Amino acid sequence: MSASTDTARTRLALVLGRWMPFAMLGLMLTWLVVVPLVILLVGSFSVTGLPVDFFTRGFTLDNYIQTYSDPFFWRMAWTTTVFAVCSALGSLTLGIILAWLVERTDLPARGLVRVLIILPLATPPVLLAIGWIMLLSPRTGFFNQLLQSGLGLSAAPFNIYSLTGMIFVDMLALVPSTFLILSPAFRNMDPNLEEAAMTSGARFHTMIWRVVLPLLLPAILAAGGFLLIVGFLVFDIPGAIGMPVGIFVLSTRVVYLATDAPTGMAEYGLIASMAIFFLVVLLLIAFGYQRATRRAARFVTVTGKGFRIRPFALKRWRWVAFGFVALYFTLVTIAPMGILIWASLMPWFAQPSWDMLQHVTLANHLDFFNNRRAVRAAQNSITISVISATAVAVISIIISWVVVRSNAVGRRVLDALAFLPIAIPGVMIGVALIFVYLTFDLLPIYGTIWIIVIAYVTNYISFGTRASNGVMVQLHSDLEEAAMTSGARWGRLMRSIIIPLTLPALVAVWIWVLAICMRELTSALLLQGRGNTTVPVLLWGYWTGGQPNRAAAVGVWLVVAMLFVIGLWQFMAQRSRLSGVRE
Amino acid sequence: MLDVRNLRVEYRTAGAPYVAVHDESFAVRAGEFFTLLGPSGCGKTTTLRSVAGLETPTAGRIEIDGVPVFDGATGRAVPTHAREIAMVFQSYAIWPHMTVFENVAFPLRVKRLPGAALRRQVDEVLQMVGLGDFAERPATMLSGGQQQRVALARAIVKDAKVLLLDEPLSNLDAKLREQMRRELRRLQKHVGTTSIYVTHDQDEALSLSDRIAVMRGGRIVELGRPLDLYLRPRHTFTARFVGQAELAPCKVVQAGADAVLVETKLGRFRARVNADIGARANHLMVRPEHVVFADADADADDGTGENMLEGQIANILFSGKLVEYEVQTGQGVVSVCAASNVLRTLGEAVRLHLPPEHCVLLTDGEGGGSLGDIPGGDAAPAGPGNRRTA
Amino acid sequence: MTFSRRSLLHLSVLSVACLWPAAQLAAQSMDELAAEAANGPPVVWYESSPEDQADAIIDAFNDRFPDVEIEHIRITGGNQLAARAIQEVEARGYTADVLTGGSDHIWSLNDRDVLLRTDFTEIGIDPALFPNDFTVATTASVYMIVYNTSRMSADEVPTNWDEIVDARWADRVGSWVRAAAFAQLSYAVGEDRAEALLQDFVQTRPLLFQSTFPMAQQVAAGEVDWAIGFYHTSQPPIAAGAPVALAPLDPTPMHTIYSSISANAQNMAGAKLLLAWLASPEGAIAYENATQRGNPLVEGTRTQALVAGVETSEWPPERISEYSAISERFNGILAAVGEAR
Repeated sequence: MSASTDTARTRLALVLGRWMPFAMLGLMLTWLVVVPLVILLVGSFSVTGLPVDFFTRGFTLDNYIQTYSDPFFWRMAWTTTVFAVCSALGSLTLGIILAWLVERTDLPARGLVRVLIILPLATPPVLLAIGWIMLLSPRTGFFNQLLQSGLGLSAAPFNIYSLTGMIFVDMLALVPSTFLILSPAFRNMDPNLEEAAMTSGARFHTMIWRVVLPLLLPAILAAGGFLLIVGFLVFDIPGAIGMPVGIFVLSTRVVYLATDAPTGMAEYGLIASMAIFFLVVLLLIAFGYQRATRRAARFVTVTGKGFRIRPFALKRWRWVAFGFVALYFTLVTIAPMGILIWASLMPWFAQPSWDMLQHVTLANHLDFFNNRRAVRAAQNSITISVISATAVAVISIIISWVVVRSNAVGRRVLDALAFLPIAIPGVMIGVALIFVYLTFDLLPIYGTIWIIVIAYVTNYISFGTRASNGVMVQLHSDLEEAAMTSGARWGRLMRSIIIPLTLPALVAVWIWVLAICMRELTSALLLQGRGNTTVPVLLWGYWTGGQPNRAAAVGVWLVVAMLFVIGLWQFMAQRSRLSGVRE
Repeated sequence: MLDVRNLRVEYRTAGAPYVAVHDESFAVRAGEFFTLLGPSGCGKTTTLRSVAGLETPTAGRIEIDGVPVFDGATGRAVPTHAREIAMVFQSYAIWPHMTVFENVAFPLRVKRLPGAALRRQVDEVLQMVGLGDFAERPATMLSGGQQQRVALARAIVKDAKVLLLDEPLSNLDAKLREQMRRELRRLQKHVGTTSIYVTHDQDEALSLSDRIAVMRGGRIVELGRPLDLYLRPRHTFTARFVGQAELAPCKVVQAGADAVLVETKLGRFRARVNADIGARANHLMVRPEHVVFADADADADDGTGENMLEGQIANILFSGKLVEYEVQTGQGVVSVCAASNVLRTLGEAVRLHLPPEHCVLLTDGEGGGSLGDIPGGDAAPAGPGNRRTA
Repeated sequence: MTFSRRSLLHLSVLSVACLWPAAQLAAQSMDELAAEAANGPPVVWYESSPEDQADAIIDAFNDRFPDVEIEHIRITGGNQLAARAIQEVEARGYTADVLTGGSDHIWSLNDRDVLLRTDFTEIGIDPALFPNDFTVATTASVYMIVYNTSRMSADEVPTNWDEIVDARWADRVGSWVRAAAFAQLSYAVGEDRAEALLQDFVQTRPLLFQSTFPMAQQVAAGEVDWAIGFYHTSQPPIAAGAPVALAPLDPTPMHTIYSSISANAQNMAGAKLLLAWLASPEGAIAYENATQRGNPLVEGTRTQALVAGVETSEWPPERISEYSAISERFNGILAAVGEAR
């Protein structure tokens, strides 16, 4: 009798011990993801879109009818699809080329190149878009005028105000993210596999097409899915470039409904019903991704057989590749940054010209440093970004481990849960969080930085898990099992094996989230309360307050901060790499 | 030391569950070098991983040193880290972010061994595997053989009750493999740890093991000492898989207590090995090196013409130590292995003698057979329970 | 302790009030409110001005009432102001003490009984400023033509609506992405006429901007020659010395911005004080100096001078639903600018 209760008890303890981590994880994710999701759903069936009205005023289908019967919606959906697909493909192509060049070849100055690729991440997209307008506007664009006077052209060669222009800028804006998702995967690939292909007589392009790309397919698909969704949701770039000429995408519509709907109330109901469309698109993408990477074991490339990273010799192509990278930077980093710096030195918005040189002023920068709110905002931004980035990195790696490695029941659900929040527009996450933390007085975080942290963690877990899934899939399970057979428990396994081995990817995730949090606006604006103003909110204040030059100055300092963080990261990475090889 | 009872491992697939290991039982004695031998997909690695706790069996019971680590009946499953095992992986599973020293020290760090003792033990084991000078090297800067030694050292240093080795030599080149094989045997004798070795290489299995379990399709076909499995296999599968075998289907003509007369397409043969199979025998096997040329062996021809064959040398394969001849007889080709002291020429007419004491009677292993229920597992040739399953 | 001190204050204020002429009544009321408000929590104010502008308003307020703390929270987009206030009230029973927004937002808040209904004359507010018992006009956004002086001279600037929509401006004009100017204009000229003007305007393929602040900057940059913008959003480039100038529209569409007290204000006295001060000439001028948006109904503001002698056009707040319908339709027409290209 007692023996059987004993076994029953050990059995229970065993089951609990095995499932507790997943149960905790599930609970946390549920809280972070399912709650906003449910509120989104509830909101879509509520008259005003406010969840409270669903409970007090009842159920309605009007939002769906109004959204999906509108032919304008479907026109926008088509434009959005073209925009998202093209910019995702473009940035994937660029991202793959750059990641391969930086991680696998003997490209000159790779460390510097890596820093320069990531740098634009901290630039708020609205400034990036404006920068490009200043460069490529048909009337006043700097490049256009340069080319027109230089070549004696009668008309401007480029017109940024077009779908192509939007795609171009969005594509470039997405490259840093793509690079960050892909580079750990490229770094972790066993060079023997490349070499095997070469020795099998494969030509260079055959090797890339038949070996490198298929091997990296999970990471590439993860990046692609992510980019596609970002393309669906990005507002700043279509807003600044497409809207002036009447090209509308779904996200501009969301912002219109949130801020300018003539009814005097943000149309959260319509937004929510529209977000369901995003969710469906996203689920399709996620489904396709899971199907494509079902046989993930096939793609294991980091084995316990240690490998030396021998850079691929580009030989005579080395300087061609360097030229390509240099051109890319001129386009993506130097030109918009230059414009940004120029704008930050101007008293008003003016194109670069000799005449305007006499108006150069440091006033915008001085204003930023003398503003008593700026210090507070910088503190808030740093706190929020560091905490969110760390939380996302840690949670992502654990989720990825459970999803990729364990055979826990419901791990697919977990993966989907982690991917879903990306489809929820920032506005709706804001609405949901306001509702949750106002209604249920569990945590008194309304109006503090913590509610923003929660919004960010929710939103960026999808990026984090995409990146860490890719790396986890590549990690041979033997490396873990060897630790287990060496007597390591789960915690030790994570600490000593998984985390160190996935560290490059984790740091990449960390940097990415940090950068994005530093510049994120929508949620921060919506959740603004007493004393949780962030730098982007301040920047937005300048921008919408008619002080774009001051906004540019803040943008410049965001980039400087980012430069510092990335520089530090690279310095440390370089040192650890050197110490590893010195012996 | 290790006791596996009625182990069953199923994988859920889209359709019916795939059974990787059928009710499998064996016991390994303390200090024994025990090998699971079989072609890929036979369930040998799954068995090993079940012992390690990396795989959760569907049913059965596993005991390590009297401690149950898995029991399908009670649902008890000791997690891997708490089992008294150490494991060497086929891929070596060397952690690329650690030095050689740190890789090997890991099991001791997990045990929270104090620094000095840890260093001493790691150094000792590194010396043992011949990597004393490589301690501070990044693990990725080693050759394949060296990595193999690191993996081995890491397993040995843990000083576990049972050492599990999953095809540890399969990634090495032939020369190195042979060298490592010798070294592995030496180390195992030196350390004296009970070892379970998984391989598909019969040479490895024969030269390393105290006992071998031959597996196919998730079942143990036969279990025994290397010598017995080679000289007195009881199943066609074992005969074929372990060593080279000349096999012919046969019909029993007359069964006696110590000899059986069988009819094959090559003729009638008297066989003395496994005579206890008697009427159930359906294959006759002889090892090519046990076939003798009648002209070279005076005792061979007893004049009765029994167990004799005539033919011509159709093909010669010279491999140095041995020469393999293919002899074309009226009814078919027979392979003969002979030492290289006397060389035959192509087309030469020869008489072959298949000595009855080397003619082995077999039962058809198709569908699998199991000796798994032999207690203690020493499969003596005359052991009971040679079950035939159709 | 606090009680007795406050009653003493009351007494003193009352005694002084008896002696002072009636014109000073409002001021006295404000001091009285200030005394009461000083003991309450900070007065929370939801409004859309950028923080540094809000700081200037609050500084001016605190010069007069140093003991009353104002906490300004910027809510951009009146629609989100309404949504947030409603959510807060539904969930925790109160929202900000003072809410400032467009008529559409204030009216939708009133529909939800979020706002305090009171007689604003009791706190000394000029009856001309409040159309009803729940809101007070505090500022206005006034439409004007914003033009780049280095691209066109003052006499080229269109002077009436027919000239504005003339085909000669093709590809040279900018507009807010919302057709609110035409929607407000429809009150004075009629819906059909306003729509016809808008249709012609679309044919000039204006560049559409998400906000009029950046639009004014783009006028400064020469991206467009001129645009239909707001007085206040054009001030930053003008102040910075950019080649930008303003010209009046005839009739001039405008949006009045209203401020209200929430029914469950946590510091009711403070809320009343802030509103009374904002509606007073002193407050209105401080507000205008900080935000460039003034109250055309208050004597002494620049905005009042701006619209003096000009025909303004704005739908009265009680007919807000008619305005909303027209606005929605007009937005759709303007959005078709893509097809005009």
